[in-house]
Amino acid sequence: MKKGIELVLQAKRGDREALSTLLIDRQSKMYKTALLYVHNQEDALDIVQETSLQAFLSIKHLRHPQYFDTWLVRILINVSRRFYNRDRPISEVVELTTDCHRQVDLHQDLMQDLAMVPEKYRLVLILFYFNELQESEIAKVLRVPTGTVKSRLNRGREWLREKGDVIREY
Amino acid sequence: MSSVNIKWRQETDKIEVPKTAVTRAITQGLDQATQHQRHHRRLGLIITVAALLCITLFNPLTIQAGGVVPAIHQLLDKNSQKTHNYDPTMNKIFGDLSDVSSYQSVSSSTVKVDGLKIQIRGVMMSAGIKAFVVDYRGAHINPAALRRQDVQVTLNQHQSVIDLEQNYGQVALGHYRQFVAFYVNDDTSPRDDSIDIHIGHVNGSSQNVSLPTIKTKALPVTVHKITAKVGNSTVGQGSIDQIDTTPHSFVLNYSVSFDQQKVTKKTASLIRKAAWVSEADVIVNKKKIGDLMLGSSGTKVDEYQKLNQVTTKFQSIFASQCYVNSKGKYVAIRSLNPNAIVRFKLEIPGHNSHDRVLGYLRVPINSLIP
Repeated sequence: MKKGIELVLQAKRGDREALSTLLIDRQSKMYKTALLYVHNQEDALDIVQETSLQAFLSIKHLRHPQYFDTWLVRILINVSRRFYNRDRPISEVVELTTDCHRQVDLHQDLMQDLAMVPEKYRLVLILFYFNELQESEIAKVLRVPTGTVKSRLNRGREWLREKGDVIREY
Repeated sequence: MSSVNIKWRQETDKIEVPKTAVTRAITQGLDQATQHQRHHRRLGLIITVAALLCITLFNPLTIQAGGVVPAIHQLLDKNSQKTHNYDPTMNKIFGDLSDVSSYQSVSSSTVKVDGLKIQIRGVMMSAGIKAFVVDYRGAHINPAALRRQDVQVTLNQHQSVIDLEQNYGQVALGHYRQFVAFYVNDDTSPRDDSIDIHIGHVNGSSQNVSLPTIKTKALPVTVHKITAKVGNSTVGQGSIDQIDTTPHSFVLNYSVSFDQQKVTKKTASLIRKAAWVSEADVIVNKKKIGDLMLGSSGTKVDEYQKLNQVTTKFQSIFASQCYVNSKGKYVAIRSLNPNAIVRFKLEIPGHNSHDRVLGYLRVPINSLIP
């Protein structure tokens, strides 16, 4: 953790290598969050690229190094929103990594359900379930009250229960 | 439908990450940021140099007993009502004093009239438009009288002055600055030029003065030859022949021709008199996104006849700015979609005082950019 904060401080001073290390350490999380949001591999890579650019240009304004992750997710979400709001057809999600058909189907169904959830609910579901952020942390990232995060989570779960292909107590 | 317990962490782990591609995306993003930062530093340096140059050329700040008095920040400033005959197009072209690209400094001697020292400080030029700056220094300057002065400008014999506009502002105690801007026709000759200025009723007195002739260097103009045509032989044919471009404005050279035996005498007489291109719509994907800012329209520059075919040549001047409807503001045309098309409306006088549209002439937007 201390090493992480030192790297953030170095990056704030303009050390490109330090920021590069921080971003590469978080590359899986960045890519997955972007992919879950836009459901398109090419766009997800573009989002990671644009997020890296924005992070480099604005890291000097990061006041609290300990909030680097929250700050980075916020940039990523803002960039993803811009990409998502361009008029593009949603492409089908194919992220298969296992040979077990049942698990494959479940994973595919879940990804497809998530792609269909309205944007504002999808965003909190991604941050809560996939990024494992707490409701209060999501509130900080999205700059909305915690109550709003709770209600969006509930509505998102409700949507998945009622309209999704995967039946489960979310 | 599937019905199972979802282990989110496992589901997350199942998403495959193309690590090489993601690492490359991060590196590319950081590379772009570095370039972006360098570009901004360079831009900052250019702006600083330009500002310093302006300070040197215009002497914008003078410290005096009452404090710091700033110079005029805009040539023709509507908000501070420095002129009654405000022309927004001139202001768009020359209003930004930090941009010195159209500025030429001149070395001119001071003329003394009735206790007043008058000196020409510089000239600004862009396609179809010119301006000059004159300083007045003296103890008894009357700003209201300065505004009432008669300013006459004479260019070389190939050019005429259209819509002369003036503006005044105080630089310091006993120091006023005058801006005079005007449109000109036939501005593309590659030769150096001269401007003669005559001022009547100097500072409210009965005295008149001629300032030393200003020698100006030829304006670097990019010429685009165009072959857009409209109309037919019975009503006349219109065409755009050439567009002379500079970074802040352009001159549209267009002509109307007709066969004397095929049109009525009345129509021939009307076309000989005038033809206007005053409207220019910018179109992207068959949709109008805005229109260009007109400076001056329909200046007749030439007429010639070959057998029965009569051709009359005209010019219109536009600022290189487009009012973009969706943004609600003017933007430089070089920043518009490079695939945009500009549709110029060509009008001729009608028989019953209504103008008649001869047709629309279309050119790609890059024909308007130097």
